[in-house]
Amino acid sequence: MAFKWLKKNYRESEVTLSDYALDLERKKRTFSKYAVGILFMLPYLAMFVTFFLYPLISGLIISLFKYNIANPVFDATTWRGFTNYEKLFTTSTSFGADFWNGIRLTLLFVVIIVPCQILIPLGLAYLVNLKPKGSAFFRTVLYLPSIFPQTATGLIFLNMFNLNYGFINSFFGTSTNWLSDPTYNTILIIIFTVWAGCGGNFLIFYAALQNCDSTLNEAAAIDGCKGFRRFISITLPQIKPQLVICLFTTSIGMMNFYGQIYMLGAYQVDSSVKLTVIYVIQNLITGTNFEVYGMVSAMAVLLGVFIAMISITQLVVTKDRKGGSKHAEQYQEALKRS
Amino acid sequence: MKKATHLLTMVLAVTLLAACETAPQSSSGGDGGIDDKYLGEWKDDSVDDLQFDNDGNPILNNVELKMWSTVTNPDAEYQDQIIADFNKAYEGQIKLSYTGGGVCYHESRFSIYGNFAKTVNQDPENAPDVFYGYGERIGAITNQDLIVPVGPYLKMANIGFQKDYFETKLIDNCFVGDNLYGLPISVDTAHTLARKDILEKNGLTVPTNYLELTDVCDKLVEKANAGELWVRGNDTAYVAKGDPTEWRKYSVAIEGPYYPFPISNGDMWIYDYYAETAALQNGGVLCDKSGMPSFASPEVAGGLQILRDWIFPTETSSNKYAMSAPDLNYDAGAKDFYAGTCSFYLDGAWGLYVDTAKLDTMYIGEGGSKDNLAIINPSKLLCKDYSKDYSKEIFGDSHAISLVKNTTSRAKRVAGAIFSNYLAEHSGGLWTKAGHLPASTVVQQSTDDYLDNPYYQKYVQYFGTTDLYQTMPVSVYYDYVMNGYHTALKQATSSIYTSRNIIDLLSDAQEDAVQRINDIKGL
Repeated sequence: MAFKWLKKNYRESEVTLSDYALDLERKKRTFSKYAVGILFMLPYLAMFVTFFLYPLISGLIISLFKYNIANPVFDATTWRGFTNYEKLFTTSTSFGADFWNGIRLTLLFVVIIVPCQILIPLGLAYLVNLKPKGSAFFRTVLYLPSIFPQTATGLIFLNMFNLNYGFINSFFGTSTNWLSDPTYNTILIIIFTVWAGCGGNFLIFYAALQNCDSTLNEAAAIDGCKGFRRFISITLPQIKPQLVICLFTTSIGMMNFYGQIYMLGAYQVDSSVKLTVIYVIQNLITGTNFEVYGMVSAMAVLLGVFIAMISITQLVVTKDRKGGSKHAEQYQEALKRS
Repeated sequence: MKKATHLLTMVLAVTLLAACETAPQSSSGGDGGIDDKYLGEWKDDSVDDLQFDNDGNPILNNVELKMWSTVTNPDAEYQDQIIADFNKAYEGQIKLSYTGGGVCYHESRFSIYGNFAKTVNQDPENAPDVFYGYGERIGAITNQDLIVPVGPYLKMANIGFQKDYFETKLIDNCFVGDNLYGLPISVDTAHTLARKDILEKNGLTVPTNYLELTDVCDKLVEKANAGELWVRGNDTAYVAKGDPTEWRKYSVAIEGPYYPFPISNGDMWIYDYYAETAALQNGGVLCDKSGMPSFASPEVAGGLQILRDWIFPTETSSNKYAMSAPDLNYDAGAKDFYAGTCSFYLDGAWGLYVDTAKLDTMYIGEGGSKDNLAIINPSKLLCKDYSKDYSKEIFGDSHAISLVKNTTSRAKRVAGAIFSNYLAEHSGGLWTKAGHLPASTVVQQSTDDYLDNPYYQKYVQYFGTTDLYQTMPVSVYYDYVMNGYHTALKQATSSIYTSRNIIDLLSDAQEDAVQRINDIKGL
């Protein structure tokens, strides 16, 4: 029966049986080529759509409205177009003032913390990779701060740096107001963030250094290349991909800076030194502030744009491009040349 | 056999009638019907699934209710017990449960309102039927059309309602116009504890007002500086060596300066209660009748000056010495209080059960907690002029329960009204354990539920009477007013801002709050 139907249909469309078989084979090949991949990607895709794509699109739409979470209406009466964005670009409104202060503060933390979180772990990884005595111990100790939850370590820092009974002031015989003085509090937050955040990058750099080709180093040493120069010219290019990844992830992570300030800035009375963009957003949506969601969505979108701009800048500056075949192509070219 | 069956039927009928009698159907106090002016609108109760018996009482058959509550532990534990008792009393009629387990969903007040609003509108299936929140925030959630008037359903449930069943200020918070949008349950504040044993050992008495407090604190510091201050600990965990129960002399050289009453400007006891009480007792108001901030006044500044003097005394302040070290962490003074290295401590009402229990274990042979702990009535504690009525006022947070708009079933709304009334009627009893003062005037006078209640006897009786309690007036801008005032308070009591005038700090904070409100209006 099915064959008859097939025959009839193919006769009508003037497609030969071999064309049909080829077409079927092609479809089957395409399916089997991508099916497994799609299957493996499915959990990620589901999460990506649910927790990234959907909120992103919703946020974009909400940012164009006066969105009241208690009375969400999308119509002409609540349509604001780009008004929310316009208000963010004028510091005459509290939203604009808070947002730009938040951006300024966030960027300040990025500029200070990111280099620390790259250079310090890199140096430490380099030293540990020299395999001194007890290197396994140092490796563990250096990664340890990343294991503990930041709320717990934050509390420890709060007590250590307390003005009245803190260990740090007692030990050094000082009376520094680490928690309330805006300058010292900022320094404390930076110290804490760098200390707590170095472990991850350290591990990546350490793994990268272990995979470096030692023969290149040996050859360079024979050619008379020494110490720092050898590190810059031989080691660093070999770990450049990891360096770029760490630079990306650390910078983007820092743009969402919040938890550390929330913990250690709790006693900070000068809000201008602690309200990063995420903090501003968090503050705006507490309690019965139901009508601000359009505005905070605009803030979030704008922050996203900033993060994207930083990523693009980093890509351009590092002149790196993604693409899995790049190294393979370079290898092929080198092979041809040899 | 037939006779026996008849007898059994009669016994069963009498038992059922008795059971119906036990399940309270009456009002929060009186027996009168509801005043029609409080009926309000019948909103969206399109599912008319309510039936009445011949006497006009609603027939409720296994009506399931969901409640969200702003109350968190330890209060949440007590509230769950009260709800469990309700479920038992109304078995087969009304049942409160929560899909996540337990009888009620509890969430912090900082996030619950946003999630409540979102769920009501975007996930109505999971929205609660009743919402237990703050009375002073009813205006804000009514403004967003999240709750419905409770009046019609109290009437359907044959529950009489009169305004005077409740404390005037607390029931007023539940009205928006003439519509009653909830029933007030209770009010609470932070409380001042004193180590009575330490004061007496040093020849001092427990202070009853601000001037006495500053005087006692100065004397304690002077004694400590002279090496003559007797102290003793309670909790061995906070005392490094020796027998903590032994009297010893405080050593400034070893233990540092003596601060009799440590407070923290980041601590909720200060910024959620003391600062507001200080404003009230000095004749200040935080917002005007339109709900806009109005805290930049000399009266409010006077209140904050008292808190600043506490930490940074000047020549004009009542205290000569600092009563607290500056810039302390949260829960300032907790461990010092138990270690005996300070004499006063500020704690939330719901912490009193634990506090008193801790001190109960101390020196039983010497008379138990009665001799070791005193709770100071908050009236007149944060002002210098006691001639004014407002010097007695105490700032508190009030709790109220409301019906959520999503519930379109009349039976559910009536069940919600019955449950709301039950909570109002049971605002004594176990709820007193968490240090809450009942909003119901009937409960306030009840000996069984309240006056003879062991928690009332132990600590609530020292909290002042409910009529002295003031809450934040209903304002749709509640968060902006409070955030603005808290900013000024934190700055006024911080070592970083001592050079700035309090009135200037208040003016800046008020200006900022007004701008934020105007920005919200202009969205």
